[in-house]
Amino acid sequence: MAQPEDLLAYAIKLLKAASSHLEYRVVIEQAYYGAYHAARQFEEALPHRSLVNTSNTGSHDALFQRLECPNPKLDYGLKVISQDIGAQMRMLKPLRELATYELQEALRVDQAEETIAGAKDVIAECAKGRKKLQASPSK
Amino acid sequence: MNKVPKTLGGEVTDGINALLHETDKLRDGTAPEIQNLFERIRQLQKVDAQQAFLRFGALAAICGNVDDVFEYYRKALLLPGEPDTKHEFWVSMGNAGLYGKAQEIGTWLLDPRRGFFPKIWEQAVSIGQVLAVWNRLQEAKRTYPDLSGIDFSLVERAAAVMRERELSDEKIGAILNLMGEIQRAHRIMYAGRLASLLKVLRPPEEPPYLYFAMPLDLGVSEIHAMNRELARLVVEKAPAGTFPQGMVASFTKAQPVELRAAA
Repeated sequence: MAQPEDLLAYAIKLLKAASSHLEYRVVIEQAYYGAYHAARQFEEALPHRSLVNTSNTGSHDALFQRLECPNPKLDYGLKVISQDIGAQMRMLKPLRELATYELQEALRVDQAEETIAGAKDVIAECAKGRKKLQASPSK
Repeated sequence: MNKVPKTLGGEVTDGINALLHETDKLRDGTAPEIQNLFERIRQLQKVDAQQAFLRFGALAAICGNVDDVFEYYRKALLLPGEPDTKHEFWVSMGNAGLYGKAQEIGTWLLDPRRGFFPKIWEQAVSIGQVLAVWNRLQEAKRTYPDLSGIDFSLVERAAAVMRERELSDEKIGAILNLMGEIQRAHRIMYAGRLASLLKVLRPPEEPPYLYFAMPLDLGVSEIHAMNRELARLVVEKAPAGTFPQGMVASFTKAQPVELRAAA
């Protein structure tokens, strides 16, 4: 069974040997999905889920919308963490979509590095959120 | 960053452009080379106050002195030569990261009758004025037949996404303004000729959106730190604490081709 951190670690390992835009694409995808799964696990663990209607969008956009618009019943700290993760994921998403869908794009090492750095921050923020959830379980 | 246009002319303009050519870093207003230029502009002010205010504004912009940029703009507008004043300050506002204000001035300049459309439309798009450009394009093509040979398909696709997502130029400008705040805190202007590189993304099973990547001549770690700050600022200051529906923006490392474009 893989954890989000495993995907990120794999991306970091791949980047060490990567030298072509094809390899940078894979690095970006792995790092992004590490962040995505961490964000999803965090959002699903919240004691009060977002009330926003996401029926007309895709699963990634839906997750980000829920993170960006947390349930008002959540405590302030968790709301801020949720919105922060939402904003960070929004910023990572175009890099993953360039990597996955835009074959005419030549993906670069700096974009792979930026995605890894962003994914690290998202995973760290999710860990902070989990600690907060464990420390003060909301009803 | 963008060069101060040649219409400013003369020695001081050459001096400011030389500073812009050297680095994208915002300058220290107390540095001797800056003070020297200020002194020369003061001399110019005695013979042509409007031209002096344009230059004061350009210099204040590359020092990141926002209040001074606004003050010189206000003073220049009191004098004859409104089109030149607006064009020069449109550039200066962009160099200072004041993209919302640059949009406001750009709306005036983009009216094809003013004569600026052909030379500013691409930069206007890069500061988020997609609809302002698109909505004037047919009239501009009638006024400037040479525009018919230019590929505007990116603007067309971007405008279509904006209509679909109910996104406005002003909403984009609000996010770019936050990026400008971060740029000034890090003392850096955008690299190259365009403030951002626009892409229209249409991922399968997800709504389409615009992606504005602002190129910076910095290392990945500082660019990442700036992106992290942008996420925080969006939560703190953007309406609803989110990027507007239909767009996202981030800082990115400038590529050699963009740096060459600035030279």
